[in-house]
Amino acid sequence: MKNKRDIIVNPERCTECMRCQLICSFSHTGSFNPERSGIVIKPPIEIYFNEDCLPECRLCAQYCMFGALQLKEV
Amino acid sequence: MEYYGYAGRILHVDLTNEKVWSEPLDLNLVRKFVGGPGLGYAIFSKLSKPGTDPLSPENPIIIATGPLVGTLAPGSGKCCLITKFPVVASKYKEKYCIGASTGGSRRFAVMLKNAGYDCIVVVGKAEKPSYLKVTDEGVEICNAKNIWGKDVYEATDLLIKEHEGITGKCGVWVIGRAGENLVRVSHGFVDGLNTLGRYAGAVAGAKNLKAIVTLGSRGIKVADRKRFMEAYKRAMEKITKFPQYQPLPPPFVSKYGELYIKTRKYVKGCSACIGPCKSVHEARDGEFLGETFQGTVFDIAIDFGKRLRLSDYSKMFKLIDIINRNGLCLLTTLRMLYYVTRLYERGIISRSETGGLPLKTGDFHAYVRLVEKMVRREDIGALMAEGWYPLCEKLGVDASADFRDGCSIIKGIDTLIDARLWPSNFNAGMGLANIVSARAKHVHLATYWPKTILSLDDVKRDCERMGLTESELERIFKGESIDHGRLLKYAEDAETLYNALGTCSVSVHWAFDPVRDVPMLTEFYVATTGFDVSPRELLKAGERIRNLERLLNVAEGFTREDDEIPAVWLQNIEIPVRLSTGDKYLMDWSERKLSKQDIEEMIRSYYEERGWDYVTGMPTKEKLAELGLTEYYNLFFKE
Repeated sequence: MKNKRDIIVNPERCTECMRCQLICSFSHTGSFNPERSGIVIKPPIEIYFNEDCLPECRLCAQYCMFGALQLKEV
Repeated sequence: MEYYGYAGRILHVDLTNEKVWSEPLDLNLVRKFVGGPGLGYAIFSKLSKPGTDPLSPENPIIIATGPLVGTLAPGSGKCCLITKFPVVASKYKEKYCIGASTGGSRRFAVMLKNAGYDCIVVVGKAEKPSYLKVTDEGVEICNAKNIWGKDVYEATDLLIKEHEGITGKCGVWVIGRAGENLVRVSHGFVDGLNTLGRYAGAVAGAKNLKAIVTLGSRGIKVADRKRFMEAYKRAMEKITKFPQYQPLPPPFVSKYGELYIKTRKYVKGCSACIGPCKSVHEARDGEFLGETFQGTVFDIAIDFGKRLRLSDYSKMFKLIDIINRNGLCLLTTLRMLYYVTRLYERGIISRSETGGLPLKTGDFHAYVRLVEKMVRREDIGALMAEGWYPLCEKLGVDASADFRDGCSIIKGIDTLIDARLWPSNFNAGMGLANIVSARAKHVHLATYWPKTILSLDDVKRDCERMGLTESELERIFKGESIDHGRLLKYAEDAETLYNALGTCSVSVHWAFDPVRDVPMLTEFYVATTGFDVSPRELLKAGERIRNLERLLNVAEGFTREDDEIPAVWLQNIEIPVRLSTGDKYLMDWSERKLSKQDIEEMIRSYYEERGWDYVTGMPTKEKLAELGLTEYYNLFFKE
């Protein structure tokens, strides 16, 4: 899964704060562990979701403060 | 044993004998010293003997994180580098200070902990240029032949490419050519953007240590997940409700607002950052169109460009990029370029001393060549590479008195701030914090900005939230005035605590929340570690760390006399209009000229509040016993 249909990705806005990876791993593995998160951060070029990403989960976008991940209006 | 907040191990590396080992983290030690500078100083004190040459293999480089690093706690991306710094720290005697340099990181500190270590301790000297790789698979001393001689950004990119993680970059700390060449005013870069270890680049260079790479996936557990997330929600609610708060720096953070926005390409922060202070800028016009520079506070770049009389801002971008790539301390280098060029123009430096290079204010190419001379340690550059005091001694000048429109120099380091640049008066907090500090650094964050940003009531409220007792408050607040020396003691303790936990004091203080929320920090600390402590006990840990730092430096021969008042701070100054009500800012202090005695009185009350001897600078035996530091005193002073 490279993209998620309900999350807009703006890599150029990413500050590399890793808040998305921290909340993702904390919620799904029980500890803060960016390397076990479902999102890959390689700004300013790439941000995408990997096979660990849960389709219905939007935590990463909910915790992003800088507009790099934005929830699509439904 | 299960660790919460902490990774649970201390990594030791002996480069001379190519040995790597680790030990479990002693929970009693971190209950006392928390982490970061506290952990670093505790290890340093048992490892290094007073009088050790800072560039010798025996001088350790310790990089320490705190228990909140790698969690979601706001601004928890800080780590500390603890060492004996190699610039001569006294005008009168060759002595060197032991200190902690704090730097932010995106992946470096987080990945160090995820690889299983709270702290790295490096001693010895590698036979060949090396770098250290710390990952899940283990710790390896690697050959650095592919990156030795490479600039900071090139080396960082190569290491990231070689050690890429599953979900992003590895963490990287790297030195530039200046550090390799033992230029004492060099430093390291973290994750290609932040600096860590101002003036410590040469300590790594002397060890043949080019870089440290970190990558891991062990995870950082917290003791009480529910409590942690509740603390997080409360903290974020409070921060984001603050009227001035904006996640990204708004144009008004720069007095060059239009140019700042026009050239800003990306904004970068540290892990869990809530108010990123680093940005990448690209020149949109000028001779170096398309040139980028990164990391620095934008206004410093432009202000210095003006001071160096560079004809367009793109030249300044280029100059900063060259300095950064070489791993030189940007502030010191810019100030030295300015100062040395002026000395040349005044005839104090001859053309033979510059190796035939004519220096002229505003000559971009001369500045670039002078930077190269510093990096290569050639001609006058070799002197500049040694630091302020050796440079001044050789030239027969005194920059700490002479550098009127530049900066002050305290303990061999040019201070980040000029304490005069505040509209109300001498900024007592900032100035004093630099004077009494082990090494002049970002210590203005340890202080208050009275009469400018904070009202007296704000400062009082802040002190109450730090948990100060009635009698402490009575000593600080007298009618409408503040005893700055006494106030500084508590502000420093809080600042030290931030560093020990690994949380950023910049993002918490600047622009949107200029108060020290020790109860909030305590809530995160308790939820994360499971240790049951009160805010006041945690603040006491900050005091303990600051006292251990002082003890280490007294053992190196520092006394009260080394807390010297820079003569420039008693002189008038022309300052930028933004901060003043007129063109010339006079040094008034409560509507009169500030005197040396005024500052001396502040120092005296600071020492009294700290419980330090006013002559020797040593914490009293009672203070050491109160803080549980007697065993550390005995390491150095027991007869």
